[in-house]
Amino acid sequence: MLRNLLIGLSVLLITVSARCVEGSKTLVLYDERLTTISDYSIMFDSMKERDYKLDFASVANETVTFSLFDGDQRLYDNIVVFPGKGKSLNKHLGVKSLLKFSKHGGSMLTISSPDGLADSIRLFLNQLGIYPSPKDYRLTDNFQEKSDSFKVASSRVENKFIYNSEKESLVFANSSVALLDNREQIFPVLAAPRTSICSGKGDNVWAAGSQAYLIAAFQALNNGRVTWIGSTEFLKDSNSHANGRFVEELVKWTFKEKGVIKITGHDHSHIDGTSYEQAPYKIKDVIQYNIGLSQWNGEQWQPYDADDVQFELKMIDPYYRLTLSPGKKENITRWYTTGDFRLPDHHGVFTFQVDYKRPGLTFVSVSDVKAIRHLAHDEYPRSWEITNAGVYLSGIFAVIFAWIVFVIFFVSTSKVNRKVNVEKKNK
Amino acid sequence: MRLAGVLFAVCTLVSNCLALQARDAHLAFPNSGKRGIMIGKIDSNTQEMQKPLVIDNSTGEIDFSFAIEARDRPSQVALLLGLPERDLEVVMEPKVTEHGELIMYKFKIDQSTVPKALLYFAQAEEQPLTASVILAKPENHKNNVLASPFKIRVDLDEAVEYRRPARYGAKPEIIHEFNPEPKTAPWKLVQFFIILIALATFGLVIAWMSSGALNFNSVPTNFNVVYLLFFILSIIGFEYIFVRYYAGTSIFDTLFAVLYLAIPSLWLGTKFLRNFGETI
Repeated sequence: MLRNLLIGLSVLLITVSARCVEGSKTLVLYDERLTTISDYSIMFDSMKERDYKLDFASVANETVTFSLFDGDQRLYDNIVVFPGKGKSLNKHLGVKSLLKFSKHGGSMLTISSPDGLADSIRLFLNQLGIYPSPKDYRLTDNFQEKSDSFKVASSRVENKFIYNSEKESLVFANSSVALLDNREQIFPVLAAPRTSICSGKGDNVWAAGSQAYLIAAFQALNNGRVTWIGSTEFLKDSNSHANGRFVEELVKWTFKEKGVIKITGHDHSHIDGTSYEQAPYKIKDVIQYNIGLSQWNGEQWQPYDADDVQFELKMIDPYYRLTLSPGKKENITRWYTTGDFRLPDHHGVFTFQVDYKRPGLTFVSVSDVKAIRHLAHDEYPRSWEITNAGVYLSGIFAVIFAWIVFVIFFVSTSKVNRKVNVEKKNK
Repeated sequence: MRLAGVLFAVCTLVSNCLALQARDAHLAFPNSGKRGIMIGKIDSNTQEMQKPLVIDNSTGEIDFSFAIEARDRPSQVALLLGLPERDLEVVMEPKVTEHGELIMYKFKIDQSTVPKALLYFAQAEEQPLTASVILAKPENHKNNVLASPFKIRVDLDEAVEYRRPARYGAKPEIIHEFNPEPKTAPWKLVQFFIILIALATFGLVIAWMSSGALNFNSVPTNFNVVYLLFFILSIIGFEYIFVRYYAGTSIFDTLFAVLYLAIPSLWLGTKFLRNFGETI
């Protein structure tokens, strides 16, 4: 009993103190022939301050075994991978293992440099649609003071959920670049300067201008995140005066300390509040749909404010796509509503759906499948509600009236006529 | 020997520090028969041409060429074509030929090879494409050249077919369009016919009355008047049940009502007609 209580308490404490929404156990893989971990102490100290549990492992020794899974259970929530000198990262960390880690929702920060990028990481990134430059291909910008060490304005960061600052100059050196596929799940973060070129030995140009990217991110549909950075120098303590804040925010985004939203609730009902269960919807009913969203600010959930939340009512194709209006604000939730809208005049099985996918935010989706029935035979408009019927109805009532009057007249009048006829015959 | 070394170093330094420049920059339109345009020198201070060039259906290709002295040979020569404010530029590589002390660089701007995205934005949003020349050497950043000598306006007869890549974000709103309500007769016209029917009915009654078909000589007296009243009321009752059925009362309620009314009305109606029928 006491043991269970202690376990529960410790889980609660971890949950309360952890800054990452989904866990903070992080494996740092590096090749000691290329990377000196102490050069990145500011970044790792910052992570430790935010309650990350860091396990460092060098991949230089091929005999050392690593495992990211225990059965199907992920052993780590996050991985940081520095460039490796060898062709493979480690024989136990192949591309399949990395893909499995990503498919299970794990997040990765991968760093490459012209000095090395293991094939498993390259193939993994290629699977995502990120194509880093080959080994020994460096980015240079001849319009900067030092062509292989250059500055890029932070205002060029393309995703404001990852980093939003206009004023800083980010320093890059000894950098590789990547070309990106045209996928929705890829979020370009920082393009190379337009005057830069990425070239290798013999001045072979691999990429030029702002076609290439220095930093790119990927978010899978299961919200597992991958960030690729083209330069190890970028993360080093020696550049932290320029890059420190950006690096911190990039790590926060990659490991889901920020840019995380969730749906706290959703409902739909007739406009008088009657639920579907009480009165199933029929065609042309007026209803409203509400959804609540929260955002993780690194410490707690708070209401998520946006002006682009959309609701869809679908039966194969959307019949409605409505941008929701912000409604009431509760403790951790901002509610959004469609307001009153009329259901389509088609009956069938419809999906009430909010599929909110925005670059830089976790993808959230909720749907509810409900039948919308046609009108029952007694729910169509009655004939007297149709103007045409006025003529027929007045005809019917005229006949009824005339029939009753006729009966009254017939009963009260006929005797006289017969008497007259009889008298005439007698004469 | 030492002096020669120093002189060589100074010469190299001066050479590196000298601003790069291209000369004899020229635009040609080989397939359209248009006259070429001489730009002349290109360096950091080169101003953009006042009027943009036009790519239309008759202009298949624009050739942009310039020369650089071999001793100033830059390591990076490229032409950026696109919309720099959108970070949307294509990098073009030159064809290089050497003529003695001059190196000739020639760029072919071919409408068919310019990316569709650039042509689309340039045409649909009427934004001319900016052509920027890059002439650069390493460690010579102050003297490297990034100049925009001209712009290109896209004016094609047909709209450029370009489908933007799918991106997450708000989509256009969709509002369901309901089927139109069935057409009905105008209420004024209906009212006209109702009045017509009412007039015809009253006309019929008045015709009956005026033709002498109506006298009240046969109104039953004594107890038969009760039977008469019930007979008339039963007919009105049946009409009332019919109207209620028409108005939505269920068939079962209607049948019960008919049953309840039919029994007394049959009995009393028969009685009335048997007693009074002989006089009708």
